[in-house]
Parts: sequence; C-alpha cells; structure tokens
Amino acid sequence: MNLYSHYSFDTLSNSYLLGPRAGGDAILFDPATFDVPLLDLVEKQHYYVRHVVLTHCDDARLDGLRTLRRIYDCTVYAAHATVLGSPAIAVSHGEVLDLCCSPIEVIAMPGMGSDSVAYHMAGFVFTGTAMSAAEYGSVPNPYAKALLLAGIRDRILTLPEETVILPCHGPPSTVAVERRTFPMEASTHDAGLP
Amino acid sequence: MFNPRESPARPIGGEELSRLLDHHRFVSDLNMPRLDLVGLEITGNSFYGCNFASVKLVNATVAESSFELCFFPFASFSDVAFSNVTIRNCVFGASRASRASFAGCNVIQCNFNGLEATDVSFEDCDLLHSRFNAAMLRTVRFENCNLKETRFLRTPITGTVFRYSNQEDAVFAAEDGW
Repeated sequence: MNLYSHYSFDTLSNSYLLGPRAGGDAILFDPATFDVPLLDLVEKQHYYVRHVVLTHCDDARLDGLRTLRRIYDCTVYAAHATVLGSPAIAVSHGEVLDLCCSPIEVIAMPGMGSDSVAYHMAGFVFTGTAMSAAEYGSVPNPYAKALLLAGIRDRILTLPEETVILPCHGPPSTVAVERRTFPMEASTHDAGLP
Repeated sequence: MFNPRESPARPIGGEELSRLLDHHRFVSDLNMPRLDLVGLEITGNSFYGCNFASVKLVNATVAESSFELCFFPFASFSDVAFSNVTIRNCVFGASRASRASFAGCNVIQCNFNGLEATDVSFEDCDLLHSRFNAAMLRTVRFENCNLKETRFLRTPITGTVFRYSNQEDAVFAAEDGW
C-alpha cells in the first residue's frame, strides 16, 4: 500500500491518497481542494479515485469534492447520507468498511458534531479536524470539549503506540508521541464524564 | 510508506547504512527503528515514508537531502548538522537534541512537539506550519527564519532567541481548539 500526503495552501489542510503499489483503485481522504498537483499525483501513480472518505461534512472544506466528482466516478463515505447535495454512504461508529486496500474501522468523534468521524486502518488513523499533533479541534462549548477529549483519550490514544496519526490540519504524529504531548486536561471530570 | 504494523527491519550499523545510501539515492518505506549511528554523513539522498523511531544520531552531518513523511519520534540527536535539507511532514516528537543546527533548511509542517532541545539553532530556515508544542527549549536560536503559523503552545520561550524572524506570525497561545 502506498500513502501520499497532499497539502493545500488554499485551505491549509491535508488530503491523503492511499492505493496499491501497482496502481488501480485508490482512496482519497478529505479532498479540501482538488488541484493540479493532486491530479498529477493521482495520475502519475496510475490511480483511479474510486472511494472518497470524509472525516467531516463541512461544505466549506469540501470544494475539492465538487471537482473530483466531475473527473472520477467515485463513492463518497461520510457520517451523513448527503454531502454537498449528493448522496453519500453514511458510516457509523464501529462499522468496518471494506474498500480497496485494507479494512477501515469507523470511529465517531463526539464533541465535534455528528458529522465528525475518524478512520483507523492498517496502523494509520485519520483524525480529521478532531485532533492534530498535540492539539484538538475547535468546539462550541466546554461540554463538547470534554466529550471530544474523552473521545480522543478512549478511542485514539488507546490504539497501539506505533499507530501513525494523520490529521486534516498540521503535521502527522504517532500515538506514542501524543500520549506524551497531547493536552489531556481535567475537563472530562469537570463535565461529569468518567 | 512503511507499515506500522509490520515487524521492523533489523537495525544496521553506520558503515552498512552508508553503503546502502551510496547505492540507493532514493529510499522509501524503510521501517528501521532503534538505529545507533555515530559519524554518519548523508548527502544527496531522498527519504520517503521511512520510520527511524528512537534513532540515536551522534556527530553526524546531513546535507542536500530530503525527507518526507519520515518518523523520528523519541530520537536523540547530538552534534548533528543539517544543511540545505528539505524536511516535510516529518515527526521529531518527544525527541532530544543537543548541539544541533539547521541551516538553510525547509522544515515544512513538521512535528517537534515535546522536543527537549539544548543549544540548537535554526538559521535561514522555513519553518512554515511546524509545531514546537509542549517543548523544552534551552538556548535555542531562530535566526532569519520564516515562522508563519509555527506553533509554540505550552512551550516556555524565555531564553529562546528570535532574531530577524517573523515572530509575530508564530502562534504562542491559542484559545480552546484551533
């Protein structure tokens, strides 16, 4: 399996392309933009973007999906059944997707909203906007923050320590590094969560 | 990209690694943690998707090379000089660095969170979107560096020198979330 990271200077966000070494059907995570460098990357690796997997359904961060759908006949997987007005396959916590490379486990990220999920596959976890290196996503209130931190603690930081964390924003990390540096505060207790 | 779930390769010595790098200018998918390297010189190599977790690098020079999606968590760098190196999307989290220098390097969106650095300098470097959160910086100098969106959350910067760098574009404190 090959993994490529693409950084968009327009949205300051990362997209990730996964596919078999020999080319063929590929998965694209969070295409905030679909620009010429990303198209070049897909084509040079002889990939066809068959699956688009979204960690969130924020329309403002999915402009790339509009372009992508004009080029590739792709299936979209997201927490909601409709994305940008088009149907998507709705995923839920604990579900396992069987796409082209390896089984992908869906992990809900409570606190970030019902549209926010992470995906865990083959030693990689795509955390979207919920978590990045030693930081967490923007939440509307202290209870949401407590929910999010508890979700990160219980669902991400319990993964094997060598697991690679690939966020929507910022640099990558590993579970072992995050256990050392993530700002896990007492807010879960403050909010009455276990 | 290396597979985090696969058993890592057996660590090799510095001389063996030097020979390997002489023959293979482009190295990818290497999963070789816990290397112990003294006196290594790397020039003109490109690395992609490699895992060098817990590497110990002593008295080494790295020049005219590139690293992308490479992982150096819990590494130790001592008397190491990086010059004209491009480092993108790499992880140096929870590492230690002493008497290390980065000169003329593009260090784009790299993770230095939890770094314990003593006597480390960044000169003429682009550190766009890199993170030094929860780090301990002792006698660290950023001179003539681009610090656009470089983040230093929960990192004391007393004693850290920012000279001829756009410190105003760096982030030292943030409200909840980002």
